[in-house]
Amino acid sequence: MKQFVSGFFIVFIAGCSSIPFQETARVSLESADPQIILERFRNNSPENFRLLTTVVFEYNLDKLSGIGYVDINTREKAFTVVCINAMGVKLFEVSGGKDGTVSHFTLEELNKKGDFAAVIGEDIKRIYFDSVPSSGATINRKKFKIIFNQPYGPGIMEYVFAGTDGNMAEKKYYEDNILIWQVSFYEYRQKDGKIYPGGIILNNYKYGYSLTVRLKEIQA
Amino acid sequence: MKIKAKKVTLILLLFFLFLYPGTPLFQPLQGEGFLARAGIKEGIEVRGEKKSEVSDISGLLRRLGEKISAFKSLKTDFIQEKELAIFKNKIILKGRIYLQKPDRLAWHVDKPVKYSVVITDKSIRQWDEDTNQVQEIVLAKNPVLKNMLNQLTVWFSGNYSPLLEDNNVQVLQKSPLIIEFTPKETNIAKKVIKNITITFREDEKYLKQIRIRENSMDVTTIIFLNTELNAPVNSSSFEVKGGV
Repeated sequence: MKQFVSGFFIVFIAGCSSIPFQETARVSLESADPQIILERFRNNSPENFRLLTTVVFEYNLDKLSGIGYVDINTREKAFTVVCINAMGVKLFEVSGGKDGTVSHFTLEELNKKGDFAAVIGEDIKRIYFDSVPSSGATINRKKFKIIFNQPYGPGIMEYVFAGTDGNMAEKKYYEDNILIWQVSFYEYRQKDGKIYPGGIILNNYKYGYSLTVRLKEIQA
Repeated sequence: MKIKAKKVTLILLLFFLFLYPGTPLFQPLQGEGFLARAGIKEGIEVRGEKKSEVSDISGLLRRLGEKISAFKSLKTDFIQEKELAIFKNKIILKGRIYLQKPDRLAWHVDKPVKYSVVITDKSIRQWDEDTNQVQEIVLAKNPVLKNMLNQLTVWFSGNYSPLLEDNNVQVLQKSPLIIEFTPKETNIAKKVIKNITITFREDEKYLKQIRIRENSMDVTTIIFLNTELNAPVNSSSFEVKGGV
């Protein structure tokens, strides 16, 4: 199955490209209290929200874009996502929760390449869930960032906080000291006292694809 | 295992076209009192009244086609509302469509993402701002796709007879004219589409909107605004980047 899933992304996804978002500012966090940084980020993060985004899947030189409508409940770890192309044709509709991921609709061609819903579900979880390290995470302070590490499944999750407001800038997952995937968050926006990343890039190094998510509208 | 993006584009476009195998994207009409002059006062199928004669519907569609064949170019704004059964909110897309007979169609989306596709008798070119890539499919190398696009242009050219082969057609309302197309059992669109209704403007000169109801309960409504027939269409409107 993994081969099929990998194959799917070989179809669509392209490798490295320049970052289309403003880089996180290099601001000294030497005097910042990690626990305060963490607490502020936790308090500012929304639990329930609905976003209109655009998404680009990349692999090598191939790219596929779509318009994504995402409904997230971080407390329940539940999500619903619908992706359409720019002409309004639905590409897929997937929901998920603690019990797993359900595909309500997937364009037949996408499903032929593997368990598409499962792949989408995992990427949604990587981007939107488990965004705050636990109080038991180890802390590694650098001049421009504060790094939290904690066990996550069979590997280690690394949370990097940086920038002017000390928001989460990166989330990295390692297994056997090898970086498996990474999510980078850029250009945070505020609405009703909550913050939302305006740009997100997920790099899956294991399968060699990336997703670039641009926030278009917050419908919290 | 590797499939080029062009193939992806092809798949998506084919899927899009599959949604409308017997239905024009838009059917501008000219002249007043079209329905009356189409000679279908008696015998047409109006919901709640009486069953239609196929020949009457056939006559209606034929005459609609005759009206459409009168224009050479068209430009219109559109709003596309996507009502997803799984969400309460609609996804709204806004853009412009340009048509130049005999064989050029441009579909530009302005919001929420800039996107353009231009279809000619020789190729399909598309671009979007997020990828900033232009993808092109040469139709000479894709005879199947070319055939489907030919069918698309047939709809614009006014040959509506094939509609009755693949769809049950009925007039839901005379004024403004609303026609419903329901895919027949043998129509591959039946798997996805419940029905498609086309609403004409009061003057019956142009389309007002197309509403596509899917079996999934999703509803897509394309509303046409500021439609102009035979207005000069700038050649840049048929460039995927220039049109945005």
